[in-house]
Formats: sequence, structure tokens, C-alpha cells
Amino acid sequence: MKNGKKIRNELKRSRQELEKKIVKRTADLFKANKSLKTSEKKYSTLVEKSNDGIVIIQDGLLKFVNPAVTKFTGFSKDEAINKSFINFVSPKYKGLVIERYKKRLLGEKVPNKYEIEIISKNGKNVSVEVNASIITHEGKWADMAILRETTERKETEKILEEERKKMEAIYNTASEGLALYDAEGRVIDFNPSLRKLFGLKKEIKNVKRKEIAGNREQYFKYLLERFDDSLKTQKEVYSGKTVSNVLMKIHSNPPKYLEGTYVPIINDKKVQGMLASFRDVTTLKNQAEEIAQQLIEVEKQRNRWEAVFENVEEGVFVIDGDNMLSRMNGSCELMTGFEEREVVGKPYYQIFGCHDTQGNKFPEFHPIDKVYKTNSAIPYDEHLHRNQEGNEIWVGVSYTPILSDNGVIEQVVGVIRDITAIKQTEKAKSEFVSVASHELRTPLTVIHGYLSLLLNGDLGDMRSDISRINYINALNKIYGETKRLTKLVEELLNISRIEERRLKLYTRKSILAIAIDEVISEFKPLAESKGLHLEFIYDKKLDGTYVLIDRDKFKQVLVNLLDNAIKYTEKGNVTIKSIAKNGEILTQVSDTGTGIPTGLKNKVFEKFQQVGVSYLKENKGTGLGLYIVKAIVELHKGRIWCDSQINIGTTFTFTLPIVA
Amino acid sequence: MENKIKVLLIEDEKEVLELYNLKLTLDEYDVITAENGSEGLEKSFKENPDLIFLDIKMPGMDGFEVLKKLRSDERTKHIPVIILSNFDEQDMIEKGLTLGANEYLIKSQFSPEDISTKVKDFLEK
Repeated sequence: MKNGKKIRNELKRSRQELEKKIVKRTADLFKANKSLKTSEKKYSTLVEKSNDGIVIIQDGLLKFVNPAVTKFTGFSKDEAINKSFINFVSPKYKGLVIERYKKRLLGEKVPNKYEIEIISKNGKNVSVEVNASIITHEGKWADMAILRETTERKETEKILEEERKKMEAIYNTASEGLALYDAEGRVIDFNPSLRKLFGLKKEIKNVKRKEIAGNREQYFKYLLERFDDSLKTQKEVYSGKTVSNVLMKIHSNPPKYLEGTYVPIINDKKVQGMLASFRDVTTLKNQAEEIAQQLIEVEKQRNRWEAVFENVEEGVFVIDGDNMLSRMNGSCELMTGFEEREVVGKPYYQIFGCHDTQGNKFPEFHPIDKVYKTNSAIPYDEHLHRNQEGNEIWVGVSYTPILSDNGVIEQVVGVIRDITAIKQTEKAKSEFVSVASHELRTPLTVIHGYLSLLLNGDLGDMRSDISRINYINALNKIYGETKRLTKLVEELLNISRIEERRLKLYTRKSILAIAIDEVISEFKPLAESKGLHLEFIYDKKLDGTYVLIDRDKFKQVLVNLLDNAIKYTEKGNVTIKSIAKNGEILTQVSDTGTGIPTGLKNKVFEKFQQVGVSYLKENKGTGLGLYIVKAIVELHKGRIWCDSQINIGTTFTFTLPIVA
Repeated sequence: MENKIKVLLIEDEKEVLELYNLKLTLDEYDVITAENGSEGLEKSFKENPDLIFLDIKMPGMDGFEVLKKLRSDERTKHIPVIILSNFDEQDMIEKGLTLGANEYLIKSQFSPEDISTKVKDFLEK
């Protein structure tokens, strides 16, 4: 019994243990199943989400494709499954793929990573990188391939290759000479142009730049002259700086100029080498030199013109197209009274205020307007301008436009000459002619008039007393006017002689007092008839002194002065006084007459100047007397002047040198 | 005597004045003389002459000024004025005529006879 119980207990324990085991196993299995499920899910998610295409091929047919495949081929899952995979491979790669597929299935060793092209739904080739491996699929051997699309990478590679080729072409054909140096300054490479530009005659590849610089004659056909410190340049570049505009000269025939640029090649913040490029700047340099030469010439020319511009007697100014003055020379400054800096940038008509002879002023009239209107020059014209002081000046002008290529006036150059003096002389001449003819006509009128009366018998037949008186009166008038005419003609002839410097003196050593006394005695009756006291005061010191005079002409001086003194004096005295002073005899002719206004004192010696505003209002007389007097006194080496006070009297003083 | 034609001579040249005076008096005109501009103007207003002979160059008031005043005064603006001058410049002649002179004669080119005839011609018009 004891054993039975033992066995029963044993069995019971075994069963319990078995149950425990079963429970545990079941739990384990369940657990395993669950974990398997999780893992499957994990892998399937991976497959579904993968960017790489995943295909499973069994018996030559596609058994599985993931969405990524659909994405880069365009075929749907249904269009792909159970189709022969080889149909999707581009013809170019079919052979290769079939061969490798077969070998792999036979267990032969083939590369499991390679590139092929597959055909997408729209017929394009898509490059893919294939990573194939053998798996079991549904209990059978199958080929699983992971496809990674490489089209983009291929294209990038293609572009890079093209770029490289392009760069190479540029490098080889560029006219610039290019040289590449390593970190030690050794030439790694250079292009054909460099050889040509420098005229290389020895290989420089792998030669240090320093070595070439030290033995240039060995490397270069022609002498190379550099205008920089070659090694210093190198040092700078290797310190990371770009050095450009390095000029060098190749002494070939003709010489060549090169310009170099040195660029450091920096990688990882370290200078790994240097790229040097050289271009032929001979033409540029020659052009620059030519231009520089031309500029020097232009400058010289400009200086010459500037000298002419500043020193010509004519006033020269330049007006810009917008009517503004841009230049004015010194003569122009003198004429206008403006300084150049004051007028530059101002409208010309403000500075050259101008009017025509009718008094028209800008804007109705300005001679420069005509240039602008007609686009042509004014060769010569005369105008009245007003200077800064407000004085009118006569100018002879010529205006020349400077036209642009399309005929627009860019500048006007004005050349002006002050002809005021000439104009005044002209005016004086024409006035002289006018006044002289008037003066000549007056006695002629009277002579002609009386003669016609006599001839017409207007004055009777001399039988009556009245007739006789009229006759004699007429003859007296004719005689008087003839004398007047003669005197006038003489004066005019004298004027003409004076002006042509033909008035000659016939001098004799004379005692002045005798000459003066002679004239005074002639004037006594005239003075007495006006009730004037005529007196001659003679300095005793003058006894024994002589003067050198032309008696006739000296008489003319005194006659004129006394004539005037008596004419302009109504009462009082006319005095002549001679005194000795500083080796000269001063003779004064003084009156107590109307006097001469201050402003006219010096003008009395000018032609046709009498005391009056205008000749029209003048007193009788030709106005030539004092002009002639002055000329005669000066011919005698003397001087004459005039002192006068209104309503008190006038004194004319003249001098004559005393002779031994 | 009462119906004589009255002629005013304004002339500063004494000899010239005397000459014309003589001829016109002989020709039985009533001649009034003035030796300067202001006297001439005064006599023009006072005597109301039928014709005035006017010189240009005169002291004080010249002939042009006299003419201006004659032409701007109601009493004298209708009186014929003949300028008698020895200036023959065109601008003087033009000025005289512009200011209202009826004629401008150059003295030396006309005899006293011509002057007398001028008076007759003028007043018969």
C-alpha cells in the first residue's frame, strides 16, 4: 500500500508538473506568437514606408512590390504582381540582370550591388541601384531586391562632368594665362596661354616659383620685368590676400604688358595653394599711354588758348546753351566792370545789358538772341552796352555759336571790343563837319542874299539917298561877312594843319611886351566902345628877357583871348599881366565877366566847345579859337589853363619859356 | 497897312535877320523880328503872325524847343512855321518836320527873293 500511495503521489506530482509545463508552454507559445506578430507588423510597416523600392521575385515573376516602387516606376501593385520582372528592365541591362539572377539562384557568387535602369510606366529610364539577396518566400526560394533610385544623382554627376569639361575647355582655350601652385609654391599646372604669354622655353611644372623668379632667363624667352616685388606678392597671397593689378613687361619685340592677379586657394581655412591669372594689357596700356599723351597735348593746347583768352585786348566771353555766362576774360572784366566770378552762371542779358540805337532793350532786343534764332554767327555788329557803372559803352561785337553734332547751339563765344573812343571820335568828326558847314553857310547866306538883292534891283538904282544908303549898307554887309568867312576858313585850315601836325612856327627872338602892346592897341577901341578898362601890367623883372615866338601866331593867341574876354564881359576890366616865374613868363588875361562853370573849364580848349549845353544854343563864334590857341601855345613849348568863377570873372594863363 | 500880312522872323544871326527883314519889308510885308527863342515865342503869342520863320541854332531856347511850344499852344498851333537853318543833316530835317514845321529850308540855298516867294505861296494856299 505504501508503494501504491507513493506511486499515486508520484503520478499526481508528475501530472501537476506536466500541467504546469503545458500552461507555461502555452503561455510561452502565446507570447512567442504575439511577439512574432509584433515583429511582422514592424517589418511590414518598414517595407510599406521605405523610400527604397522592395521587390520579391520568384520564378521570374514579381511577387511583391512596395509602394516606393509604385512611386518611382508609375506602375500600380496590380500592374506589377505576377508579371515577368524582366519586362521592367531597360533593354540595355536585360542581359546583365538575367545572367546575374540565374547565377544567384544557382548559388554562384555574384555582386549583390549594382546599377541598372528600369523602365517607368511613362517609358522613361530610371536609374536604380540594386541590392539583391536570396530569401524564402512562402516556403520557396525567392530573390529580394532593394531598389534605390539614382537618376537625380546621375544627373548631378552628369552636370558636374559637363562643368568640369567646360572648365577644362576654358582653362585650355582662355586667352588669360593661368597657373596653379601648391601650398609650397610649386607649379601644379598651367594652361597653354600662359606658355604663350610668357614665352616659356623650359618646363615649369613642379618647379617652385621662387626658383623660376631667380632664373628667369632660363625659363623665359624674353626678359621679364616686374614692377612689384615678386616674392613679397607671393607672401601676401599665401597669407590669404588677393593681389591684383600686378603689372609686368615682357621685353619682346614689340614689348608686351601683362597684368597679373594672384588668388589664394583656401580650403579648411588654410591656404592650399595659389591661382595666378595673367592677361595681355598691351593694347590697353598703349591706348592709355596714347590717351595720356593726348591729354597732355590737350592740356598744352588749353593752356595756350587760356593764355590767348586772358591776354587778348578784345573782351571774350562764353555763353552756355542755357543762356548762362560760363567764361569771361580780363579785357571783358575791364570793359563791363564785373569780375568773372561774379557773372559765371548768370544770364548774359543781365550782365551785357544792351540796347539798339532805337533804345529797344532786352527782352525786345538783344544781339545774342539773333544767334540763337538763326543758328548762325554775327560776324560784326556795333551795339550800345551799359557797364556796371551804368555808363554806356559802344562795342564792336562778333558772336559765334558752337554747334553740337546735331546742330544745337552748345555755346556762344562773344568777342567784344570797346569802340567807345572810336565812336566818340567819329561823332566828334561828324559834328565838326556839321558845325563847320553851318558856320561857313551863315556868312555865305548873307553874302549871297545881299548880292541877289543888288542884282535884282531890290535896293533901287542909287538915284535916291535911301537907295545909296541901302547899297552901301549891302556892300558893307558883304565885306563884313567876307572877312568873317575868311577868318573861319583860316581857322579851319589851321585846325586841319594842327591835326595833321603840319602847323609850323617861324620863330624869332622877341621882347614879349612889344608883341603884347601891339595887340592891345588894336583892341583899345573895341574895349572902350563897351566901356571896359583894358590894362597891361608888365613885371619890371622882365626887362632884358626874350622869348622865342612866331609873331603872327602869337598874335592869334592874344587876339583870341582878348576877343573872348571883351565878348563875355559887360562891365569892369580886362587885364593883361606878365610876370617871370621859374624861367618862364606867365601871361594872364583876366576879365570881370560871366565866368565859366567848373565842369567846362577844361572843355573850353576842345573843338567847338563854347560855354553852353549844346552847340545849338551857343553864342556866336566858331568855338575853334581856344583849340587853336592851345595848339599854338604848346608849339611854343608853353602851357595854358583856365581859372574862373561864375559872375566874378575868368583868367586864362599861358606860359612861354625865357630864352637867353 | 491894316491888312498887311504879318511875318515873324526868329533868328539870332543879326546879319541874316536884317537881310530877310529888309527884303520882306521891301515886299510890303509886316515884319516882326525876334533875336532869340523866348522873344520869338512871346511875339508869336502877342502878335498872332500869319507865318513864322524859325532858326534852329539860337542861344537859350533853340528852334526845336520853340517849335514844340508853338505846336502845343492853342494860340499858335495853326500858324505855319518854316524852319530856316543852315544845318542840312537829315536827322535835323526829320526832327523839325516831326515836331510840326511846315517846311525846312537851308538858308544858304535860298535867296531873299525865294523866301519872299515862299511867303506868298504859303499864304495863297
